[in-house]
Amino acid sequence: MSQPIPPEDRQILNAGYILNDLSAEEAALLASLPPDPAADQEIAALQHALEASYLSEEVQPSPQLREAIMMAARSAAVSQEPPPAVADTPPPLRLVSPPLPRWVRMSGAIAASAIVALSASNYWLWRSLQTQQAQLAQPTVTVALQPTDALSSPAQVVVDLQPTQLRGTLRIENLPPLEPGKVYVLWTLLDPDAPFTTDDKNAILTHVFSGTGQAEGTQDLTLPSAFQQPGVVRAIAITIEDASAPQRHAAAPILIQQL
Amino acid sequence: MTRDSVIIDAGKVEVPQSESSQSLKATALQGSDADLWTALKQGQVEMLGILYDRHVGLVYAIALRVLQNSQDAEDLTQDIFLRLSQTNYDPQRGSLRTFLAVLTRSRGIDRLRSKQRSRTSLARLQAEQPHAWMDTSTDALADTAQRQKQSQQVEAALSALSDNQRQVLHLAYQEGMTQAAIADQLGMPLGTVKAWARRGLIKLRQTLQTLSEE
Repeated sequence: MSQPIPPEDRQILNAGYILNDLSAEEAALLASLPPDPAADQEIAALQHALEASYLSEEVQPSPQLREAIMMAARSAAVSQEPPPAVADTPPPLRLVSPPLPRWVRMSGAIAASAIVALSASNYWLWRSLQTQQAQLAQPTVTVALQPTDALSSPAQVVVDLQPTQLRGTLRIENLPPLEPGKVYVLWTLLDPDAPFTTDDKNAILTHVFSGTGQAEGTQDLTLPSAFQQPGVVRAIAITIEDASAPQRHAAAPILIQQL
Repeated sequence: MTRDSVIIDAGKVEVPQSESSQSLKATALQGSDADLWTALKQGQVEMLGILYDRHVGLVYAIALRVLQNSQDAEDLTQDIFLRLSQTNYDPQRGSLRTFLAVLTRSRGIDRLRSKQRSRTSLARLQAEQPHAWMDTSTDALADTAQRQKQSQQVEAALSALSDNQRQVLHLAYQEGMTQAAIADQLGMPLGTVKAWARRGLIKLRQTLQTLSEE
């Protein structure tokens, strides 16, 4: 143990310790210094100053996280434990139990593995529930499509989008009746560079519905996964296509809304 | 921790056989971070629980602040603690708590970048004032005035630093840069960067103490 050093030097070493930047020589010097309660207080105060200024105020995670971490750590420790070796030296002084029969140890290992698996499963189920609850809490985005010059009647079409669940609802009012052999088609128009398969108009056929007897009311939609990628969906549009081949996307939109 | 009841030798927290596991746990609870980390490194897994209880609030808060998502933050927190014994932390050379804070921030930023979601979040993070973040959703109203006062004190303490001191500490603890990287970026010797950081921290502590006594 070396002699005390000037207070200013000790302070610098303490700051280096808190900042985790001591050199090997400085670390050795600090370790060799005699115990000093005032220096311990100084270290605690430096830690507090650093945290108050630059680190985050504490927030506790879910209680299940601790259990999951400890189970995983115990499991990893069991799997890495080396087989018992014959040693010349006596074992270290520890809490010692008599050796268990092999089958008991194997049963214990199986039980431990089962506990780890169940615990992990429990944690992930809890996480899934949280995710689903968060998704359910997501607000629905309502989009009112605007008529183009191709539409003569005062139709109203509103789409309620739930992107996280890829679900939606189509609400229709006053769409004009269709000629025989025609259908309405709802399109999702994407950014030209979007990594999704589209037609030559960068569109994905999203929903087909008839104008006869269904031109008013509500219909459920299943949305393409592009809705879950921010910034990819450019617009939603409705066209009138041939019922025999709505995917050809031959007509211009009668209703459209950019997103 | 008394030396006659607990001997920490070669990483083993050992007790006389007359002591129960309860007393082992009680004694380990009083151990230093360095002792517990060394014991963990030697395979005493239960020490991880004590270190977790001491530091998870800080680790999770930083993970949450960087990743802006509770699930991602829990994943990162789990990763940090499970890999703790495999890190290059040297208990002789620094505080475990600061090591965990820097590691969490650094890994969090890496995850943001790897997910290519970094632009918005990183910009928000970098624009954020060092002390501005608070979990306001859980703040009790009674704490608000105290927090505001502390925030003002921190702001005053930061403004008392020299530009070099403030810049070095900001780059290290807001941007997650190593001191070597800071030295490289600033074109200054590593020793100078270290000195600025240390004197800056000492100045922060002194100013905060003075302000809290006023």
